[in-house]
Formats: sequence, C-alpha cells, structure tokens
Amino acid sequence: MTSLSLGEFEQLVLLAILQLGDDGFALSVLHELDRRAGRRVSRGALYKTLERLEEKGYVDWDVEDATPGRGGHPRRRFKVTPSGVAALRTSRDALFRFWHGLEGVLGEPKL
Amino acid sequence: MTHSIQEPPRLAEWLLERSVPAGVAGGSIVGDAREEYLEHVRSGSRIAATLWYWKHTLSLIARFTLGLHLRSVPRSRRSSQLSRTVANLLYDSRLAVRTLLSRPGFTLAAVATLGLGIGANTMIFSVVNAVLFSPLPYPESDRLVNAFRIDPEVTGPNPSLSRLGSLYAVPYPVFLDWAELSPVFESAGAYRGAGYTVTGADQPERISATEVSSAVFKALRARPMLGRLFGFEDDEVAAPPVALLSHATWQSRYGSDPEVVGRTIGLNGVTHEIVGVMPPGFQFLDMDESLWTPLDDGIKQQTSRNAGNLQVIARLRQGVTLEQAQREMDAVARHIGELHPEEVEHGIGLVERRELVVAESRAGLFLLMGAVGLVLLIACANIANLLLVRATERRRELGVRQALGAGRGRLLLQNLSESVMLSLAGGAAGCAVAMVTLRPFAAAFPGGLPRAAEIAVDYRLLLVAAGLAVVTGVVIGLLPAIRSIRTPIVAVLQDGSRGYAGGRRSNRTHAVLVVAEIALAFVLLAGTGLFIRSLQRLTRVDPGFTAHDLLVSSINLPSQYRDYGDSTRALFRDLDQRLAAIPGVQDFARASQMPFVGGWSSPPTAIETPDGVVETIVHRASITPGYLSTMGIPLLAGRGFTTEDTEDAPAAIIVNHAMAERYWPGVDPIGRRVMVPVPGDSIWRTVVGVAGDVRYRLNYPPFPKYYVPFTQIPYWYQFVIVKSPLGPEAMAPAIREAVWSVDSNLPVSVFRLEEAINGSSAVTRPRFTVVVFGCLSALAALLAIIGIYGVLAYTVQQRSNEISIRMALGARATDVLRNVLRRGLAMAGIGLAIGLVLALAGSRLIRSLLFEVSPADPFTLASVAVLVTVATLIASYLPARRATKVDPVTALRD
Repeated sequence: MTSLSLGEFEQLVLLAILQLGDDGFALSVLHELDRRAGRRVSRGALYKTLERLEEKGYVDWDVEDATPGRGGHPRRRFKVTPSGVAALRTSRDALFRFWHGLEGVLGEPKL
Repeated sequence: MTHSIQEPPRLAEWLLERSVPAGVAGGSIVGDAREEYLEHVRSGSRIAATLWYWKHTLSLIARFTLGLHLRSVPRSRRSSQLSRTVANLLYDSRLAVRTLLSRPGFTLAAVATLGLGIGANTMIFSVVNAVLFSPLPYPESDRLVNAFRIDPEVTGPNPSLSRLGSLYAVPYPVFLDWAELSPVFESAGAYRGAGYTVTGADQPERISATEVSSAVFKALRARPMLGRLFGFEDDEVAAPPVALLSHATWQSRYGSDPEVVGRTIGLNGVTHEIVGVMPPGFQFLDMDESLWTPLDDGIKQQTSRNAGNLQVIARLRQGVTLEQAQREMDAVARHIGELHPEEVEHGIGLVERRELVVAESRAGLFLLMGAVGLVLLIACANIANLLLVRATERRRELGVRQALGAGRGRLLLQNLSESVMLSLAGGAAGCAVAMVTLRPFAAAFPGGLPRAAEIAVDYRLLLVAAGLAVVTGVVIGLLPAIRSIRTPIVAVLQDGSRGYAGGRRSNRTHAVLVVAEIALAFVLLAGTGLFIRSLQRLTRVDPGFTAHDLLVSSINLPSQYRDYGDSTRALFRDLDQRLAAIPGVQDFARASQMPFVGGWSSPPTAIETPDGVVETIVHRASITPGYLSTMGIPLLAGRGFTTEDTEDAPAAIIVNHAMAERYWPGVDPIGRRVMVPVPGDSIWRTVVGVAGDVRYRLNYPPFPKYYVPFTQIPYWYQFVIVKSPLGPEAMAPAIREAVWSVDSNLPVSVFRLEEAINGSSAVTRPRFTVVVFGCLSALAALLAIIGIYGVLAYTVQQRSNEISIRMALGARATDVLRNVLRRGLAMAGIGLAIGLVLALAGSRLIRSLLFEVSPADPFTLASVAVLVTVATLIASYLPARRATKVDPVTALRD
C-alpha cells in the first residue's frame, strides 16, 4: 500500500499519540489535537477513529489502573504500533514528494 | 464534596453504557466521560456539567448507533445488541414515515384524531395529578388534618367525607379544649374566612382575608418572607391589631416595599400594624387571600360551647396515623362530654387536609378522566380499523417479504412502527393541545378548581403524553400487525392482482371494532343526556322567591357605626329615604342575609318547643318591612313586619315553613317564642308570622330560618335590594350616589340577583359538566359514525363483485340497500345493547353528580338509543346507496 492509506484526521490522531508518549489517553489526544492543530473534534469522532485505526492494526492499547473519579471504569493508554509508524512514514513520504518544490507558491512552513 | 455531586446523570450513563461497544473499550469511554464530567463540575456549575454530559452522551449514542446503521456490512463483534435494535428501529421508522407521508390525508386525519384524544387525556391527567395526588405545598403535609364537630347520625352533603356524617364548625372554647386535651396534635390552630374593607386609601375596597390563631402557621410550618408570624401574644384578647400580608398584596398595594413591616393598613376603619409578609405562593384557604389577621376579639371572648364558627387545622405528631388519631380524639370527645354536660352532644371527626381541599372536585375530575379515556378508546378503534384496511391492502407486499425470508418478529415490528410513528405524531400534537388547554380549563372549572395555582405545564405532562402515545400506538397497531403476518403466504401470492380480500373474518374484526365504538359512544351520550336532564331539573327548582328585576348591593358599615343601636339605625334610615327618591325604583328593602349571596353568620338561638327549650343554630336575617314583598316570598300565616314594629314595639319574629315544621310540628307556631342573643338584649321574641321557604342552594332542600325586624336588631352588614326593570348599568350610579351621600368611605357594587343564582356553583358546575361532556360525547359520536360509514363503505367496495352478480341475476336495488342498512343496524343494535350494560354498570359513578334524576333514567337512555340508531341509519345510507349504483359490467370486468 503505497497510496495514501491514512486520512488526514487519522494521521493527526496517530501523530498526537506519538507526541504524547506515555500519556496517550483518549482525553489527552483530544486536548493535544486542540492545542497543536486547533482542531476541536467530537469525542464520538475520536473514538470512532481510534476504533478504525485499531482495526487496521495501527494503534494498540493497554489498560491503566482505574483512577478515582472514573467510577471504577478502566482507562486505555493508546500506543502507535510499528505498522502504524510505517503507515505514517509512507504517508509523510508521499506527501513530501508533493509538497517539495512548492515553497515559492505556499511559502515556508510555520512550526 | 458529597458523593452525589461526583455522579453524572444516572439515566444518561445508563444509556451510554448500552450504546458503546462492549468490553474494556466501551468501559474506558464511559470512564472518560465521567472524568470529564468531574472536570466540568469542578470548573463550573453542576447544571452546566449535567447539560454537557447529556449532550456528550447523545452525540456518542448517535455516533455509535447511527454510524452502524449507515454501513450495511456486519460490524465487529463488539457492537452491542442495543445498537442493532436501534438501527432496525430507525430503519423501520424511516420506512413508516415515508409510508405515512405518501398518504397525507389519512395521516393528517389520524394524527388530528389521536392528537385530540391524547391531548385531552394528558391535560386531564395533569390536572388530576396536580390536584388530587401531589402533596399539599407544606412541609410533611400528610400529617395535616382538619378537625370538625360531627354528628354521625346526619349524613353530610359530601359523599366522600360521609363516613363522618355532617361536619360542623367549632366554637372557640371547644377548640381550646381540643388543642389542650388532644394527645395526638403537635399543634392545632383555628381559623375562619373574613372579609375586610380597606379604609384610608383613595377608594374603599373589599378584600378577602382569613382570621387565624397563631398555631395555624405553626401547624402549617409556614415561614414569613419578611417580618414575623403571629405569636401567642396575638391570641390574647385586646391585643394590638396586626396583619400579615400576602405576597401579592405586598407587591400590588405596597410596591414590594422591603420596609413595609411596621407600616399600617386600615381594615374596617381600624388601623392594623403590618408585622410580616408571606412568601409568594403561600395560600391557605385555597382562595386568594390578601392578608391574615388574628381571630376577632368577639370570638376569643366567646363562652357559648354550642355556636360553632371556626375551622380547626392540626398537625399530627410524628408517626401517628389518622386512624390512631381518630381513636384518641373519640376518647377526647367522650371526656369533654362528661366535663360539659350543657354542651350539645357531638363527636370529633378528623379529615386529612388534602382530602378536605380536593374532595368536592374528585368525582367530577375522575368522571372527566373516564370520559376522555373513552374518547381515546373510540379514536383508537377508528384508527385501528383504518390501519386494518391498509394492512389488507398491503398483504401482497408483506407476503413477498415473508417469502424472501423476513422473520415474523421483524415484520411485526415494522407494522407496529407505523402505528407508533402515527401515535407519536399524535402525541406531539396532543402535547400542544394539553399545554394550550391546561390553564384555560383550570380557570374555567366552576367555583374554582382547588389548588389551581399548583397546576403547571412540566416534564410530567410530556412524559404522560409520550407514554400515552406509545401505548396508543401499540394498541392500534397490534391487531392489524398480527393479522397481516398471520396470513398464509401462499394464499396471498396466489390471489393474483385483485389482492387477498380478507374474507369473512376480516370483516368481522372491523365490525367488532365498530360495535365497541358505538357502545362507548352510547355510554358518553347517555352521560350527557343525564347531565342535561339533571341541569334542567335544577334550573326549574323554585328558589322560593322571584329574582326577576332585583338588584342587590352589599353595605358593610365601618366600626364607628357598629353599635347594634341608634347610629346604625339612623344611618340606614337616612339611606332608605335616599333610595326611595331614586327614579325607577319600584320597591326596595334591606336584609342582613340573602339567599345565593351570603351574609353574616348566625349566632345560636334558643327555641321554645313543645319538648322544652332547644339551643341551636338557625339562619336568621334582620329585614325591613318591605323585604318579603320585594323578594316575592309568600306569607303563609300570621302577619308580616310593618312600620309599627319599631324598636319599642313588642319583639316580633317571622319563621319560615321549614322552621315551623321542624320545631313545632303539627302545632300553630304563631305565638311561640324564640330568644335571639343580642349583646345586652336577651329577651323572648314572639312568632307573628310564617313565611314561605327560600333555598340557599338550588340542590339543597330549604333549611329553617327566621326573620327579625331591622329596627329591633339592627345589623351593620346589610344587603340593599332594589326592584327595578332598569338594569344595574342604569341604576348603579344612583344607588352608589345614595350610599356615598351617607358615607363616602363605603365600597358599593351592584349586581342582579339572577346573576348570583345562575353564577352559583350549584348551577355552574353541572352546566360545565354538560358542556364538557357534550363536547366529548359529540366527538365520540362523530368518530363512531365515521367508523360505521368507513366500515360499510369498505365492505361495499370489497363486495362490489358479489353485489353486481346478484344484481345481474335480478336482485332489486332496494334489496341491496336493505342488505347494507341491515348490516349497519345490526352493528348499532349490538353496540347499543353492550353500551346499555356498560352505562348501567357505571351509573354508580355519576349518581352523586345528578340532581333528582336516576342514572338509569329510561327516558334519557331511550332517547339516546334512538339518536344513535338514527345516526347509524344516516351513516349506513350513503354506502348503501353506492352499492345500488354498482355497474355490473364495470365491476365484473375489473
């Protein structure tokens, strides 16, 4: 699969999880998306995307001990799997090939 | 932080748990929601957090269940059962909506019918719930009781309180004994309704008030909004005059002045200090009281243990049941009887406060609830019939789907979803109907619906409407749905283009539904007929006087004239002269008590009977000589009062027929003696005449009453009665002018006596019942007629083949006509028979609401039966005629 197998939102979610490191909880991802990309997304959309990414084998999770205030419900810590990292890499490379040489039109990227 | 604050809304969480995927993944989503909810609680208000939680939950539910629906591929095994069911339901309802929209005429008619039915039910249910079932607006109100003197031998007018017999008001000294001796009262207070003229303002104004002892507020656990309540010091004789304002009075009269406590208000010419303001919504006597004052000194000083004029309210001690309390009070009554042998023998009856407030409205409200329930049933039968026809038409479609492997349960659900969609739309319309009609209905309830202020449009109304809609939907849809999936597939599919006709059994189902409609409509029509008859009887009752052309105005003198003596007499002598001079006045008189209007309560009277002296309460009026003739009350024996009956003349009284019969049965009452206690003037008065009976309420028999000459016992409270063919509009200014020339501080209102009679609750309640029942039964009858018409029209259409063959073989048009009419009449006949049985079975329920009419009144039932039969004939005639017009050639070719 060399084509773009990742949607834009899927990429953002995967990247956010990577950025968060050991802190890849759903709510943290939500805040990270807001903070870094200015994206306010509904929880439903996020959960659905995480579910899809899991089906594709790009993310995995383990269960964190329940903290007080969650009413005994578990907490999932998401991690990007090696194939997720590979997919991200493929995506990035494909996109970069398209971005390359357009600085004259689009200007330098702002970080 | 309490535990409950950390908990998100339980229902929302429950829903969320059931819509997210099963297992850890779903659990963690619920946990996330909780965590965020807590953050919202910490950073903002609890309400905002709750709102957020609901919004969040709903959007997640939509995402997880709808998302599944949008993809038709089977989802992962983690998808919950609920998701799948919801998806199916959504699919079915979408299909149902599309089907319904494709037939807008049918849908609109059905939704309108259901909307009226559900709306009426929702509205009445909301009223019944607020009035009859919800607790009174006082803390621990189930412990509040009213205590009465009772005479178990005499049945009272109120059937639901009749276990106690007649209920009587309580004299002050007796009340004090009860309060002191009762082991079951936590606190007990006495009160009575009162009216005041507010003086000292620009315009004198009548307001209603309640006189209370301080313990009344204690029993109610009421708290003032400003200032203080009454204390024990206010219960003392000659305590400084004080008043408590209602919230409304505080707003309207004092512009919500926060410094109002300590200001004064003039009541009947006496300056009262305002000591407090009650909170908004505080009501006590279920009427719009403007203010409260302590009990009148006259009452506090009362020594007679026989003249009752107070109501007693008490709070039972914690844990004491009404039965226990009643047993204890029975013992108290016996004990008091031993202590005071001079007291009239009586018991003590306890009535739950709420019961007392709502008892009178209960029968009427339940009856209405039954009536609107019947209307909804009829509407259901009608729509079920229509759906049945549609189900028959759609058998092929369902047959095909069944043949292709659709499960029966699935088909049943799909069928039901259509009727439930229909009734949900009806429920929404019903909600609107209920919201719009709720307040006007409560306001129109004659004599005032108790607790009307507590009736509100709230979530309960929505719940009731939604619940009714779902139940209705299942009820109307179940029969057609079951029938349509029961049909053998082969039969349907083999039947070719003509469609499976449904046969005899289907027709029988239609007929059964119509018969049920006719039966129920008959019950309602019979009820209406009985109420109309009852109202007719009531309005034909002779009140004992001629109200025609009589105008009444009440005058309540301020305290400086209240001396039972010369200044009162002088003032009214002056007024009489001015009244006599008004052009257009044919006749005029005055009285201290007026039938249908009211008047001063009567103190106990001693009566010299053949068996000795009896002390009892008899109604009494202080009248001028012209009273009997002005009112048209006949004089049956002896003489009337004349101008000769001056204050110095021998004390004279006139008794009415009922009093003569009761105390001097078979004896000539003329010359007998009666003692009327007037302060400082207790002398025996001699009966000089007997007057005809006068009714105080149309539905009560006349009770004993006597008259005294105004000159001998002048009252400061007087009704001026003017006979004039000119209406109140023409006469009021002159009458007002006459009164104000005597004292400009007197409020004057002039009204027709006839209006007072027609506006009395004895007339307005039955009239209201007739109107409401009339509307409901007209609706029911209309629905039933539409039902008959629909079924016969459908049958004729189904049988057009058969009919045309018959006609081709030589049947005459009249035979066909008769055949169809016979079918209609057969349905009507069976419906009437069942309806008659139902009506007779239910007659017990309305007996108490009828006046001199038996619930099984043959005339009424027969008339209604004839009416229903005629209506059936008309409804059957149109389809029957169409049957005769069937063209054999066309019918056979199709």
